[in-house]
Amino acid sequence: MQLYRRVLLLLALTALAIGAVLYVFADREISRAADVQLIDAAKLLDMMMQDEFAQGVLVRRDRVVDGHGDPLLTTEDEKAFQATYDSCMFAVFWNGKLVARSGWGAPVRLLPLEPGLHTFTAQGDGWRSYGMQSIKTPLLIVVAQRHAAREFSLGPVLAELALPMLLLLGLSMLVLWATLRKSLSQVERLASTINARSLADLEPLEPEVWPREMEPLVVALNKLFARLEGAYDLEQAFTDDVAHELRTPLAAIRAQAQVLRRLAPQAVGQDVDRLTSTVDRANNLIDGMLMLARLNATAVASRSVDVHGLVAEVVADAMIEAGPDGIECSVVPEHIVRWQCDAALLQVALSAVIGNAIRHARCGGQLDIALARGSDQLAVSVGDRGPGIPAAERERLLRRFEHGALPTAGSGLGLSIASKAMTLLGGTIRLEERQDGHGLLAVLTLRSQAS
Amino acid sequence: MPRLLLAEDDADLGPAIRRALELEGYVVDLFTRGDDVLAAGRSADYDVLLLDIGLPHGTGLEVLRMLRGEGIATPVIVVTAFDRTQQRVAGLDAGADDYVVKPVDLEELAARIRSQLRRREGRQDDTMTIGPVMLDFAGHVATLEGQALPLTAKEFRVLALLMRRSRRFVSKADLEAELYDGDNWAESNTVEVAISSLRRKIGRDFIHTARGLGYMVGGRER
Repeated sequence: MQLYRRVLLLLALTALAIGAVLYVFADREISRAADVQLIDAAKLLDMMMQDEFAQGVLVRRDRVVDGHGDPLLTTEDEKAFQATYDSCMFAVFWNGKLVARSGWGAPVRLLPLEPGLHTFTAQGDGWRSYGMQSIKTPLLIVVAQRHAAREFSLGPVLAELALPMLLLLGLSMLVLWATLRKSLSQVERLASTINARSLADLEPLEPEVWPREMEPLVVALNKLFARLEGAYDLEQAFTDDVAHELRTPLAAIRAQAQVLRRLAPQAVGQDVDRLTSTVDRANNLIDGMLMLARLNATAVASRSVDVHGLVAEVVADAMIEAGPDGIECSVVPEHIVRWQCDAALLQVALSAVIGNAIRHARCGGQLDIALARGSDQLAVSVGDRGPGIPAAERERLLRRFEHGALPTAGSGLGLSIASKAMTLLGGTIRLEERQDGHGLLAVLTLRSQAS
Repeated sequence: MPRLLLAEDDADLGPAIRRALELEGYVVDLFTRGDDVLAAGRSADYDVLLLDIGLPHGTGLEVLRMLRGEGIATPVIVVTAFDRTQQRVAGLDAGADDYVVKPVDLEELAARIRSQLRRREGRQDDTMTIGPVMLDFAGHVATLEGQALPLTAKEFRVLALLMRRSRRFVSKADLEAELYDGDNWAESNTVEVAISSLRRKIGRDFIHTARGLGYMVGGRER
């Protein structure tokens, strides 16, 4: 995952930066400590030479031209100095003249003969020097040290530190990764909770169930849900109003057509009938739209339903509506079949499918309905002897306003209403070829709610 | 001549329904406002009131409640919008005797009005008419288009049950139980024999059949 990689990279970079800063600080601290050491060395030398100077060693030596008088520093003093500051060379000047020096070190002419800390190069090495004007004597003491000797090597320390540092880094990466993963799993849980929702389910999420850091997301989602719900209600109300308003003029047209039918001469009777059936079709369309709009807002109930009885009601209504057309209908089995579901929704689906089949059965005049109850599902199959539907078109017909190849009085909404109702029931609708000869078979499958 | 009050505020639908009812032989007064309906309902003597629920200046339900509150017991048929079940229930609660659903089928409306008129006249005649067939339960006689329809006792019982439960399927078992006379179970094909004989006498389309569901008279009571 991208986020993990980015966060881990960031963590590694931070660790590196902290290391670098620590290194620079340590280096500077070491350098300062070395300077302090240099200053201490100069002070020690100064102290060591106090007595000799007081005894007038230099004054005497000055008179002795060859310069082989008493030394300013006794051998013991020099040894003591070298024991403490083995990496420091020194040189002592009196009025600009070299009067004492260590037995080794950079050539004296290269030494900066000024008080304070200086850096110079000699014999290819970098040196650090400290010049000190003795307070009680006119001596200039210069102490110098190679850079290489000053640099207290950080290498071994770093090597020692590396393992615990790496362990710490790895551990924090692990902790971070786990924390991230845990937080992200909450996000994933939220996503799957929302995915599992039906379109109509716009209940706000409960903020207590989610981690505190997800609160802004949960709040935002709840606000979105509220807005969606408002939009839904508006759409619902709009469809409802439109359908209602359209219905009244249609009712007027229908009533006028019926009046006309009674008064008109025989010759135009058929035309008036056609007018009436056109109005009925428009009404069916409005009913269908209203039904689809309302299905969205339907609360699904569940109780034990006599599906056989429901089929009987629906077939009765459909046959009465179809008129005396000699449709042969059969239902198996002949007895009550009970199933736990929402009766109203199932009736909507059955009406749509059976109404559709009866309209098409007019061509073949036969309708076969079978209820097959299994342990965990109930299938209601409705077969007609119509021309059937080519496999490629079946999916299309489950959508809104799609008609089959035959002109029918259908609104084009029947199968999409059935499909919607079945979805709400947690079931499915399937259109297929009849196995026993030509015709369409619509299979409504309800699953047991326990499974 | 029966006199009807029609309350419908739609300028097209109201006159169309009035015209259709006039053709049925009624005197129809059409009102479009709730307050007018209330005034007319109080003053004049109507045989049936047809109230649309969505009226301006006093809805059909308000008018109905006030009339009932004043003790006016004229039969009322409420006209409700499609599928608004709560309106129907509210209408019946408010004291309506019946309801029809928009878009109103005029034949159905006429049948409902006839039924209310019969009840108002208190004519407890024991007859029932569906389509061309009239059954007189008391006299055990039937007519077809006004002509005597000779039926056997079994045929009459089958037809009577189907007509009482019209527009619903009656299972073969229920019909057999109806024919059971206390001693002898009907022979297995008695129902089929009676049905096919009835169809011969009345016409094929009067009784619908569906295997597995039973038989049904599809027409509506007049």
